[in-house]
Amino acid sequence: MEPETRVSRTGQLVNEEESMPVSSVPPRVLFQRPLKENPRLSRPEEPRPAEKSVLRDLRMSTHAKIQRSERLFQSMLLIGGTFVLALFATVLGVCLVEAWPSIHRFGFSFLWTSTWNPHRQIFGAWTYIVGTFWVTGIALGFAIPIAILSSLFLSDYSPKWLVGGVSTLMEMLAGIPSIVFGAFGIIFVVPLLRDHIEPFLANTLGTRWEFFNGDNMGYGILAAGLVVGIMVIPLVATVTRDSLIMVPRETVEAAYALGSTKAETVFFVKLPAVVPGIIGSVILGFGRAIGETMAVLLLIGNQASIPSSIQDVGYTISSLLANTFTYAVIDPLYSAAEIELGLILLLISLVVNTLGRELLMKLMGGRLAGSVGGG
Amino acid sequence: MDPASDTLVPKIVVKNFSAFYGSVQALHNVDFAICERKITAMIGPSGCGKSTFLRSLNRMNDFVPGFRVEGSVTLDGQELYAPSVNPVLIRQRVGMVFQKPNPFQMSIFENVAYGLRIQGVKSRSVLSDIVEKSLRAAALWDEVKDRLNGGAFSLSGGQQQRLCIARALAVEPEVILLDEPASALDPISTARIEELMQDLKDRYTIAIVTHNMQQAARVSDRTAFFLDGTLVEVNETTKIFTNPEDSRTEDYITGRFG
Repeated sequence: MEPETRVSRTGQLVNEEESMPVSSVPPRVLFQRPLKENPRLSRPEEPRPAEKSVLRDLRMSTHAKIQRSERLFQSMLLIGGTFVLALFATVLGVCLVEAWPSIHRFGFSFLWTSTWNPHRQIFGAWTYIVGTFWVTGIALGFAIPIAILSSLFLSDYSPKWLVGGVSTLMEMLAGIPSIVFGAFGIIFVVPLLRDHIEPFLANTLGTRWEFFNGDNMGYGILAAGLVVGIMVIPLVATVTRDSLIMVPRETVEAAYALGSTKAETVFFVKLPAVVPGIIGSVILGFGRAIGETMAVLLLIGNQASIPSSIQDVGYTISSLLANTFTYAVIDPLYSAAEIELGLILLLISLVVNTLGRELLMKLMGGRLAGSVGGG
Repeated sequence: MDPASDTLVPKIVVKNFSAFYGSVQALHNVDFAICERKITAMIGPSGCGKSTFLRSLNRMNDFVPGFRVEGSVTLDGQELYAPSVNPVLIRQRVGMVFQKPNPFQMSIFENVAYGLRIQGVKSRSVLSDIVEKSLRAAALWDEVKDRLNGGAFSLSGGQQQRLCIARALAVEPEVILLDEPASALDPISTARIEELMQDLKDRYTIAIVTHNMQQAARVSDRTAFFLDGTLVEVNETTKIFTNPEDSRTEDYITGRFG
């Protein structure tokens, strides 16, 4: 009795009992018994059971297929993933090997030595590390507030017809090559700083703090920082705007229902809700700013001195590499020192990325952190 | 039933009120009063306009593009839709709790303190007092008193909804609008919210939109039945659920449609 009912119900039980390979069972067999028992369905050649069996046939034959395609897909992914890992390891390995003479010779003192003299074979990174941080700091300090304000404007205050246009322009801005920004800096930002902003700074804040004083040249860390900042704005602004748009309508309604004005809703509810997104985009922007080469090279003045004023010239790691690496390759220690500079750049990026992720994790309480972390 | 419950003092009076989303009319000439220290339930099938009506009472529909109203809504005699009225001030007096728990991405404490902070309360001790009072009133204090600085999203859905109620209570509104406040919650959390409403009734005027007719019957003093943007019938809840005057109300509460 028991086997009979099983047979009449499902195909899989039949297979188990007869211990036949799954794919070799002709599906029509499954329907023979009920068809015979039921006079209305007594013709096995009827199209109805055949129709039904199409899907069942598929189901029965797919287990092996699924496994095969899964394995194929997994191995493709494995190749891709391994390639990326191998690439990273190769870059890091080659750099370490090439930088080894410098690492071995100078040790950690490489970091805080500010002499860089190829003739005397003394190399220290401090000047360039400081220059890099100045440019990055000025860039982010300029870009973040403007980017946040502009994204708030776009998400909550601008008329609808403006949003699409400005957003597109913003994305185009992110795609302009840095050399174009560098040229723009030379023909517009430098004269602007030289003729207006720097004299103004010197005459106002500069009378009290030497930090804002200088010789009003235009070129220097301020010009480089501002132009890099212009390049960072679209990065931060697009991500922030996207996160602002994603703030749930319910959250915004809750703020209004508590008697918030629009400004209060935007600043005290929406903005805190997108802080993780902003942090993620700032990490991206930091990566962009710290590595920016061409625009900085054109604007910073390329002088190996530690800036003491915002008007001073300076040198960054990336602009030094771009300017001198072709000369350095003939000298093993010189080139090793330059590659070590590159490694320092990589290390700073890694540290900032990791700290940013940690901060995100802490802010989000472990939720969602993977989806908003910067790359 | 205590004698006081028979005296009805109108708090919000709605006269000949129509609402439109663009060219679509969502409410047709509603005449209605929400009475002080009573729970008024609004029932009706989806799309009948009950939520639109509720959200019109604290001008939450202002954010919907193309929304406009005709007729009059007065709160203690003050016209809500007069041009000189700032909706922000209305919403400070008429609070709202929504269908989905919607705490802010802040600590439990800061969620409740938010409304006070934006109204300029700075003293930490005043804030702490009111936060505790509100959380107690929302029957949440005992569950969260040891983790006030924890994130609001660490709470369960029912707790989050009670947090939202506490947040609404903290700014001391006169009227609380509840838009299907328990529809996203499990039965136990729902029961807690319903108990809570009974506690709050002594001090607040409450209007609740609900899909759940048993809930309306359980918690409310008066019930209004909406259908296709019109107010079909409003009366004592016991009357509506035992002996409705309109046959459509009877059809709806007996489950013949909707």
